[in-house]
Amino acid sequence: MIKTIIVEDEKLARDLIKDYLENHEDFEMIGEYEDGFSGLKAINEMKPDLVFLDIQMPKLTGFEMLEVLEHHPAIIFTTAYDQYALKAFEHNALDYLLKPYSKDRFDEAVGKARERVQSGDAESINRLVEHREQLEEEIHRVVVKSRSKIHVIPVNDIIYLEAQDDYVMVYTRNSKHLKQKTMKFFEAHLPAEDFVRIHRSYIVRLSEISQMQLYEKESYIVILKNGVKLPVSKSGLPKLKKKLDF
Amino acid sequence: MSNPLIERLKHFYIYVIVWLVISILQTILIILASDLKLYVAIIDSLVFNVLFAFLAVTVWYPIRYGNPEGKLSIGIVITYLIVGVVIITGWLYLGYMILKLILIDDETYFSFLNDSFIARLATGILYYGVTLLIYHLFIYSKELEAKNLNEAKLNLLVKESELNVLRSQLNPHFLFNSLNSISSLTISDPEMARDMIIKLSEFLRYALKHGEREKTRFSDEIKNIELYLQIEKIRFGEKLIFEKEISKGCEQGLIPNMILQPLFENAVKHGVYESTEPITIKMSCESVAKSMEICIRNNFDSQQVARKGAGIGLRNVRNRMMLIYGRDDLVHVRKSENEFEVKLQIPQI
Repeated sequence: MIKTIIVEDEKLARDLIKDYLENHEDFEMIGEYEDGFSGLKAINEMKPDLVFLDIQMPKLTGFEMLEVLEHHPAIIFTTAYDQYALKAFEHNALDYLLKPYSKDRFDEAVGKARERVQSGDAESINRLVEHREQLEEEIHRVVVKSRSKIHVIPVNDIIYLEAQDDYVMVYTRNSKHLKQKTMKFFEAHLPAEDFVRIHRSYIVRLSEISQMQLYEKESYIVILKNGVKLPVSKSGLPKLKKKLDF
Repeated sequence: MSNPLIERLKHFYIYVIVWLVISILQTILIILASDLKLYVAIIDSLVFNVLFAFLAVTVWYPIRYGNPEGKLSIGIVITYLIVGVVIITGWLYLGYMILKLILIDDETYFSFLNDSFIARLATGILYYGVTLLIYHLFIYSKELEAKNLNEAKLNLLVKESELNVLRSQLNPHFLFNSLNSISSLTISDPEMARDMIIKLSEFLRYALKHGEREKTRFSDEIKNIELYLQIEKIRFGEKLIFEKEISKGCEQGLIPNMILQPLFENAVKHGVYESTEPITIKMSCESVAKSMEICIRNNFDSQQVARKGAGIGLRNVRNRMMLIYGRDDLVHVRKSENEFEVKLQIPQI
């Protein structure tokens, strides 16, 4: 049996999927969830083979969920109108259903999912996440997991970020979280009017900078309001000057 | 603006021809009124008229740069008088000088010249006046042209903003999700599906009618809003609660067509879509003095991360209010930790 979960905030949309799926006897519905957060927990715990996933949902979007999944099921996206998602799908083998969709179209997607589950290919999720990174939308929150816990960090809480090998350490007022993303991603997706990359290893929130000091000749450091000192690189200095307007 | 007399070749040709005609007329006049020889009359006419033709071109500059707004004031009148005195005196003086050089010893001519001084002064004043008039006509027509262009631009802007409003009203996300809900209902509850199709159709019909009239009765607008909320309620069930408190004076009031729709859509989008708890949208309307005060308020999930780019709907509302009432102080937005409020003040005239 192919274990299936629905994560979708509208009851009627969930009902439709369940109804369409009844004809496929090799699929077993093991749970349905109304928001990204509970869906994420369920997927990590129940390890389904297939997930019907809406993109626009309360708490966590479908994309944000994918970033922190530990278990990688086959994903069929269901969405009404999402130009960004459509763009991402264009380059991707994963299937998606544009609402409203016909039973034939649904059967086709389910057929693909069946093949994928049987071949055990999970790589495409990573590809999907990568494609999302190429889109130029601003992020509003960062979703991280530490051991079994999921944290949603609003971008407004971020003070600065530090590169750590393949990860980025995200510092907020009273905590820090490791996120598997590149500095390049954050540089491109954090609001450009609020953040500046001052160094290969540092991105800092402009409003958190309390002063800038000359440190040795021609090299500067910034001192943050919480006392942290960060180096400014040669290429970072003009960017910082431009954003601080001096 | 450059000098209209020489700005274009066509204008310049006309200008030259006009002065030639004047010169010929003057020659004929001199022949008829005196017993001067023909060539003397021609020289006299040409010298004075060619001279004035040149001087008239220079008159443009004090007009244009001494009076950039083109309005008449005492200062301007004085300037024109001074320029006039300078131009006419200079014209007569130079004319006499040049003619003295050309016709050195034609005694009969010089006595004619002296006798005709008053007539020449009057001609100079007339020429100067006509020059001023022509320049002002040019400026006026140019300004009219610019004004028309501006008006056309403004019209385009209005159309564009109306298009934006329409686009935001027919929110595709809402439309396709509703169709998906109908698709689902056809299986589980066909009657409800039919009901929803009818509601959706009525809503769309109202939205498409927009633009026929600028303003609509508040009670009609509310009917449509309730239609919209009923459709969303079929999708979201108990998660969406709507309360209204409308004082009697409001029902008949006139408000801009579909002005409330984007505000309710925002409340649903940022409240209901983003929350797992019930969201209450409250609307109140009060009739105060010569205006209506409409207030739309919704709570939202305080955990929710503030999204930017929420401004399109609200900006459209602001723009339309500005275009219709010519005031930018009619829309007030207040946001607290878990409540969002928009107040519209709608003048009733």
